[in-house]
Amino acid sequence: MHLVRAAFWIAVYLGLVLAPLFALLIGTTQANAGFWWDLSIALGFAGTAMMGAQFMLTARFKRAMAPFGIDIIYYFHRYVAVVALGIILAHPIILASDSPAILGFLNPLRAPWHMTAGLASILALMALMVTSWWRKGLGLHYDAWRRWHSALAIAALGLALAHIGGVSHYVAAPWKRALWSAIGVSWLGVIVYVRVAKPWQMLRRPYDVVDVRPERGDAWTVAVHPRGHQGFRYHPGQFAWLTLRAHPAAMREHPFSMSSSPAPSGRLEFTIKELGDFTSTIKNVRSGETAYVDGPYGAFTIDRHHAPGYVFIAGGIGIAPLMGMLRALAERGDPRPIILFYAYRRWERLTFREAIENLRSRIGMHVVYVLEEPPEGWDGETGRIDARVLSRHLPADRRSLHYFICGPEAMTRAVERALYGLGVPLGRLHAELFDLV
Amino acid sequence: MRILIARLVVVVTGLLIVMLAILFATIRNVSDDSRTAAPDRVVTAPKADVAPAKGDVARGRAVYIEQRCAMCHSIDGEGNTRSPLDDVSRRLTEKEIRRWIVAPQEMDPTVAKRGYRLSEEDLDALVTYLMSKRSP
Repeated sequence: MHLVRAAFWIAVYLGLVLAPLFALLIGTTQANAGFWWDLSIALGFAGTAMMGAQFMLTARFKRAMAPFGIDIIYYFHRYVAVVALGIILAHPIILASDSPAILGFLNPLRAPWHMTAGLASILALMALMVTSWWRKGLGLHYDAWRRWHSALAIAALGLALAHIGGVSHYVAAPWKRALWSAIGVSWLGVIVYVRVAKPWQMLRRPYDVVDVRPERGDAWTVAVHPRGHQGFRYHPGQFAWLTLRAHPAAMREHPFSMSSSPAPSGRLEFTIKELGDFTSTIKNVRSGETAYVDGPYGAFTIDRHHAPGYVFIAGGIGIAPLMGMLRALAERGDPRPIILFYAYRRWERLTFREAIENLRSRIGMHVVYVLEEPPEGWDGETGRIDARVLSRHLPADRRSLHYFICGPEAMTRAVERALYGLGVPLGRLHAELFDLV
Repeated sequence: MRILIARLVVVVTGLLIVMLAILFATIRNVSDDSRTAAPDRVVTAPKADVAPAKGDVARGRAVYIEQRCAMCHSIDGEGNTRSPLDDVSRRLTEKEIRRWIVAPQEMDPTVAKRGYRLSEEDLDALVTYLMSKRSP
């Protein structure tokens, strides 16, 4: 990780979230409110700032995201939201236990409008959390969920700002009003950037679908080619948000890894497994259709980690970004030793089986397939990728190698733990979190 | 590795916010004690031998603070400036102010305000305090 830049952007985030608290510290109006009252107000302001910062986290600012990899930013967005909700809930709970009279404001018929706005903001936030953490359990379609997520998030923030403006005495000073207006406008700016400016940019840089071909294991490879522009440069292993059969502003984009190696023509290939509502429709896409691509993103690439050799560990469709890296290594004629561990359920469904065999002979890599349901007469590894399988195939100098792991979250965690147990330093383990929601 | 860092930043963010909020609340209340110590003493005064005079302005101020009137009202620019009470004595009679405090719906059935149940002395003091406020 680019430590200095990473530390800088973490400091920027903390600054954004903590700024309103410092603004509060400098002179307020209401006298003798009491410790709990003031604590509650401070938490309310900080919680609102955290809500605003959530928009920045998912705005995909390339420069700020680069040191981390955007997948981890989404992970952070998801977990810091829990802290934000806790802080925001603490605001009315502390107030109500300090002065129970506040509970009267729960009745919208009798409460001032700005109190109802605050209550509605919290309800919107709770709805956001429930629909995000339990989206699949609730049977929510990804596209529908994204639209609701945006709408609820904007509503929650807008209502919180209305609440602050309505209560008004903490922002009564003109400079505070100006500060909060500026903060509000910058959040609005981010929303406009993401929802209007960015789709407009994408609209001007369309792609043509040039190939849709089936792969083993219910997967499809979609190839796109830039129409009238150069496309973008990327590092093998990175990913992009792909829009098919929709307008870029329609929020029907989905993140997929490039399974191709970077090509001068700008051509990109995405290999997508049929897993959900959208991925099951990939097979209906035809050559000649228009696609939009927002990328590249991600820090999951060999180009950022120089090592005497690489180990790739894939579970299922997690092979896609690793394939991009393997292909790039082959094209560059890279002489460094490469080991690929690839876990799948069944041999005949192994995505990229032929392509991997082809690469194996070209770059002389060591391939270890680990099958859960091996066919008759299989003499390779079986079960799951664990410490025993890894130690059987890793060389003695395994501590100096870099490891790229991509697969279901449970597998990724188990492999990381096993490698750490085998003495590989954490800094040499790189994992892609592709289950963003 | 990145997950560990991400979680660390989540926890650090939460802790920093709570610590700063506690710092804010502590600083504010330390300085408040020295600045407006007088009303506090008046609040505890009833326990003394000498009962406060009926309609004591300082006690009224203490009641005003204790009941958190400043959440919706302001006096001398302090509190919620949406509903200032600086010149309330010009707009309303003493009796009306009293009604507005204990039974606001009798004054305006649509108003979103609860009736406050105060002791006779506290109510007198609060009304006296409000009557004493006149904008220049």
